[in-house]
Amino acid sequence: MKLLTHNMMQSHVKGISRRFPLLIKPETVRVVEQEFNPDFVRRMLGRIEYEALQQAMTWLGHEGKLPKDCPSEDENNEDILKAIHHALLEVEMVEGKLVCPESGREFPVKNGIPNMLLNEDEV
Amino acid sequence: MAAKKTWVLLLSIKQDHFHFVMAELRALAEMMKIPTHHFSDADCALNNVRFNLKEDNDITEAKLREMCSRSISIYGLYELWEEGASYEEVHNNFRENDDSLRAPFYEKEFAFEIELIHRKKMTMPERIRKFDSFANCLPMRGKINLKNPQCKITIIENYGVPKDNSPRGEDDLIYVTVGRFLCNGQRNLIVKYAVSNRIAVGNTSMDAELCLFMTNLAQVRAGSLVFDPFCGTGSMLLTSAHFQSMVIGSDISWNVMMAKGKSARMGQENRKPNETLRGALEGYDLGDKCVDSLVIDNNINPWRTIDDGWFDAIITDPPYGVREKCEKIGTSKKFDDWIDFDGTHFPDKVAYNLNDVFADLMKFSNKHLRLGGKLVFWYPVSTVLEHGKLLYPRHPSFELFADCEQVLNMRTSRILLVYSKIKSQHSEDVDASGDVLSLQNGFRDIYFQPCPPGTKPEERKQWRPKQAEK
Repeated sequence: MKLLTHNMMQSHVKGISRRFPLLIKPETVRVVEQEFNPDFVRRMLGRIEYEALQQAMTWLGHEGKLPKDCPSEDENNEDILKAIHHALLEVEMVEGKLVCPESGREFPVKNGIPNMLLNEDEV
Repeated sequence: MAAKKTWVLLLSIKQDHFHFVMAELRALAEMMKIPTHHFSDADCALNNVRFNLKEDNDITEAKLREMCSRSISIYGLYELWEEGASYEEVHNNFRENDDSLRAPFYEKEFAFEIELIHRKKMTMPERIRKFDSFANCLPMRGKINLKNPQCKITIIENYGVPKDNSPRGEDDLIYVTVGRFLCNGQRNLIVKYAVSNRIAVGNTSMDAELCLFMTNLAQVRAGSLVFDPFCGTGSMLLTSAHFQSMVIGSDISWNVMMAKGKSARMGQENRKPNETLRGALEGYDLGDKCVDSLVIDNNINPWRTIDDGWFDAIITDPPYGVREKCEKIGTSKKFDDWIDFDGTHFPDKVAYNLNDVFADLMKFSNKHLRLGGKLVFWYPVSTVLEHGKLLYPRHPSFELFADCEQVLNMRTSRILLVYSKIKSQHSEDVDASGDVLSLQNGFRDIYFQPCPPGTKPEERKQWRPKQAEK
């Protein structure tokens, strides 16, 4: 699971108010190099919650690699964009858990694939 | 004033999917900012699988080349030199008309080539006789270079649509076009992405040509974020990634996403560990286009709503409940001893009403598709119903861009619906609940309607379901 996906998701457990961000409990983390597309990163900058991305990087043990403040959507500095690209698409949780911030419901991540199914008594 | 160029856009003769071809050309033209009125159905029928396009501000060689770099309905692009109803007419045109556009190529290394439309075979001597016939009217002075010509002169011969199966001969020739070859379309991708060449396949994996059509209709481009909520083996995501977009796929089936359980391949017991979405993408060296694959029940999904919408295109083939079940999480039973496998609980699933599948898909797209993005999906219809636009799902945020029918059998078709998102989810006239209007697809009711009791065996084949009462 990449951190872009983490940023796109929230807890969908019923009857709670605090859904975002899902807490991350990593077991295995890997870094896979991905092709850098500055336009894609800039477009995502306008959509993601930056604080949650920073928080997620800390959970995965990669704190301090992101700029302190969220860059604007017309950011041109390649180093800054590359740092965000690295956080969004290159740092990846392979095994671990996503945890609902309010109810504590755990969603397992295996082989990099989150299982976000609720159980039949939760829907 | 300099002479204006004309280009010939030759379409593939294989016209199984005529509606798809026209819709694809419109979608690509819109992407390349070429006015779409240049590609009307009537022109195509009249000109028989080709378009002549004159150079102007909107139509440039660069744009047409870009279109060819995407299109699978285009066979090739040529710069028009001369055309006519017979070889004599073409020869005369070559002698008499202004040659300022082709003159620069007279000194180049060249080769001749013939493309046949509606004719299959032509012997080499006949071809060479035709090439030689241009000796008196086309002063090519360069060397002949068959392997790597600087100028490939293509003769396009059209023999008209055959009325029967008899082989076409010299006498049937109705039109000759001579031009300089520029580039081909992307027909070769149909072989590259054929289901048999993929790593991950399932029982309902989508045919490569249709996947490519869907990708182009969705106007996927480099750096787009594409989502398929019923991705399965990720057929459409493969072709989207081919055009350099980032892809996310989700499916309710844990087995398919994790590549566990029985394989759909003949002679293979279980799925191999690499038969996942990522594995399939890596098989085409597109691994870095994969954002993630997830196990999600689309009925209750975890996607966070943002103002702009996350996705640039949503391309999907929802299950219709015929070959693949429509399911969502839920249960009608009550029991305590849950079945766990490998530490994973497998929740019970209940039938997901077909109308709800499409209604939820449109509501989902209303929330998560960006303004101007395309929603592309298949919609099954029963051919005993009249199909018209009124029967398609409607939503105030979406405008129908194209509908292309694929006939499945005597009773059913599926229609590829392409919607453009024209209003943001916050527009005033979009109901907050985003009600999907006029959804009355009784497809399953009709598809599974049984023969009335007492039908004789010989009548069974002829029997057709009755239209649902209104």
